[in-house]
Amino acid sequence: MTDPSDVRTAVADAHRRGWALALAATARVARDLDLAEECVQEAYAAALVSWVRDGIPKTPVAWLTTIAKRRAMDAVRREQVFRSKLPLLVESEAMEPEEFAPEEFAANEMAGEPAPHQPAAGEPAAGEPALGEPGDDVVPDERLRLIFLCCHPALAQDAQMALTLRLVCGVSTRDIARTFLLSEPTMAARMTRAKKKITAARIPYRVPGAAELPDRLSAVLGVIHLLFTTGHTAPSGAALVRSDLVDQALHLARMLRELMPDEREVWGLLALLLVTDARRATRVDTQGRLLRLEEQDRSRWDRAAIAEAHDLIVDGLRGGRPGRYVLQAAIASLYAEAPAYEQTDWPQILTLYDELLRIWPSPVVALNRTVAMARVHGPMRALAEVEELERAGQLAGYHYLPAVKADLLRRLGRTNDAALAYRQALELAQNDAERDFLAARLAERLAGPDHP
Amino acid sequence: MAQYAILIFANASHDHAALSPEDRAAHDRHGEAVEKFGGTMLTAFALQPAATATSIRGDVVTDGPFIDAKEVVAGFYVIEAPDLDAAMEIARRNPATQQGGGVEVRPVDSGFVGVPPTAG
Amino acid sequence: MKYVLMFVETEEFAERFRTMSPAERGQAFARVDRWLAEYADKIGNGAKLASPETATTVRLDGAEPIITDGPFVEGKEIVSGFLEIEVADLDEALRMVRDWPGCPIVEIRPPEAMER
Repeated sequence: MTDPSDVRTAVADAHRRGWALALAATARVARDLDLAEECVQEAYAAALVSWVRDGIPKTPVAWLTTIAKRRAMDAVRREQVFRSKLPLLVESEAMEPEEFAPEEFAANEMAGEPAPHQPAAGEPAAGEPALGEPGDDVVPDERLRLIFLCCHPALAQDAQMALTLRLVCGVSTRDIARTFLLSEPTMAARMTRAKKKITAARIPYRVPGAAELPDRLSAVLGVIHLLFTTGHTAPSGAALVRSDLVDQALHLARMLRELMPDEREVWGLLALLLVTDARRATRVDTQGRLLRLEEQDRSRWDRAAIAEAHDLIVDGLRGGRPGRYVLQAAIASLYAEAPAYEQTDWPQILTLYDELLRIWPSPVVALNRTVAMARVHGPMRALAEVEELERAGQLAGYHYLPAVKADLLRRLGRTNDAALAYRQALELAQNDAERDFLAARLAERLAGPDHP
Repeated sequence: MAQYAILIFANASHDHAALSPEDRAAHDRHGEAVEKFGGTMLTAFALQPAATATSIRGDVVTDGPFIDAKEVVAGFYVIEAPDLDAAMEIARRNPATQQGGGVEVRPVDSGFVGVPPTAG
Repeated sequence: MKYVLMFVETEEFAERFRTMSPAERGQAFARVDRWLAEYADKIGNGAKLASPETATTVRLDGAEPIITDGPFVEGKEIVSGFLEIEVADLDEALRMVRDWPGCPIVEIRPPEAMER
């Protein structure tokens, strides 16, 4: 007997580390995402019982993967889903490695296998080590396939985010629904529809080839980044940060770095998330009020995360022109590494923004660049650029534009114009903490009984 | 392999007949792209301009395309391709799409009818 | 004379079809099969498309192709299939289409050229 609380901890740990691996491997056997999900879910449930009785296996993830795959195989044989669902997730059988880990399946561990099944010819029986089979605990390509499937550009981006959370991170549909402030049936319908499209339109279950990789990888990075920003500044609702989303995004970025160790943009994304999240504890005060960068207590920033990001960025800036995530991370890192806000290296930040704008001509980047520009060349020149962006109209409805403008007007002493811009920003902002912040700035700008 | 219909949407004024010889040659070469990505062309149509369309809803016959939009179906074809990625690669290389508009790739649901017309 | 029939589905039609019993659906399919059999000598290539939710659109008039989930035209009426017919003239095409027992809207268009 193993202590049930130890088992629960081990299962939770295996869930975090191994869900994607187990699901990706099972999906290939099941050839159906719903069946694969069900089998992996059952394997985790079985572990809670089995491991108490028989002990925690040496490599829990391999145990779970094997159980889930066997259940899938049983289901396929039993229900003949194989026949009807054959077109799904099809790929060359010859490439499939059988990832039984022989040393894992000592008889005493496998005795507790929850669903006894008849081993088919050629398949190792429970308890019999499959000698000569590759015995890796980790088969990275499997997870990568799953990630590229979930982030396929033919799926709507909200569906990409939801599928990634469900299939790669193993978050329950109920929790995903709660995270995106939707009802569970709505979220379930969205995922069902996406899975149906994967099947009907035959979206391939594979890692894209070299020619498509840059585009497809940027879609994956975009989804992870969007999950992070959605969590980091929740678009609406009471709390500024939804830490579960932030944690999942970091988890995904780390997983991707493990799976694609040579992609500099993956390092860049991980660094960007780390350095941004390093300030999580100080972004709001005890009342939940948003604090500006210059008001935040730098001593409470996560120095280990900032240092880890720093190393990633140094590597990322080497060897050829850096991509957008490396540059964004480098900018964020310069803000984070300054001993005090006033000592921020503004000219260097502006240089990085120039480079970023060249490879990624986005109006949002252009707006953020004006903040550094105001420090280097003064608020007047920055305001001219903000007004130009405003005229271009691409950022209509984006509340940071009037917020940045308001701050510049305030610094130029144009109080009434600043108040107007704060009001515009307030009308557009959805997050309560941001709204409170803007309302406070507005109140500061206004004086007298007419303007409480 | 799976069957996909590729619908080509173009400006309503688009007229295939008015294409230059070069453009027509490009159309003829599209079959190479289909094969390059492991596909097979099953059938293809370029339609006459939308102005030549007649629409029927119930008993009501109207002149012109049913959906009166800026961009209308200008043609379509059915291919067999290994998966959606291959179908999309083929679709985006269709020269008809270089004149603006876009393509819609939709799996064929049932019964590709492949009987050649017998009436002359 | 060749024509292409484009079948257009409406939201109501799709919904009605979804809520049919298997028997009703079987009858609907049988009616379409009878129509196809009746005009078999005039019918050429054609295909029924999967539901619009399975469509993927690639817009090509920008600097970069933009891929989106869903049909090109987001509306209540969506192309659901097409069929090539060979008839004497438009009147004969219209007569055929009036008997069509499937989706509520059909557009008849002459093809520019049979490319294959």
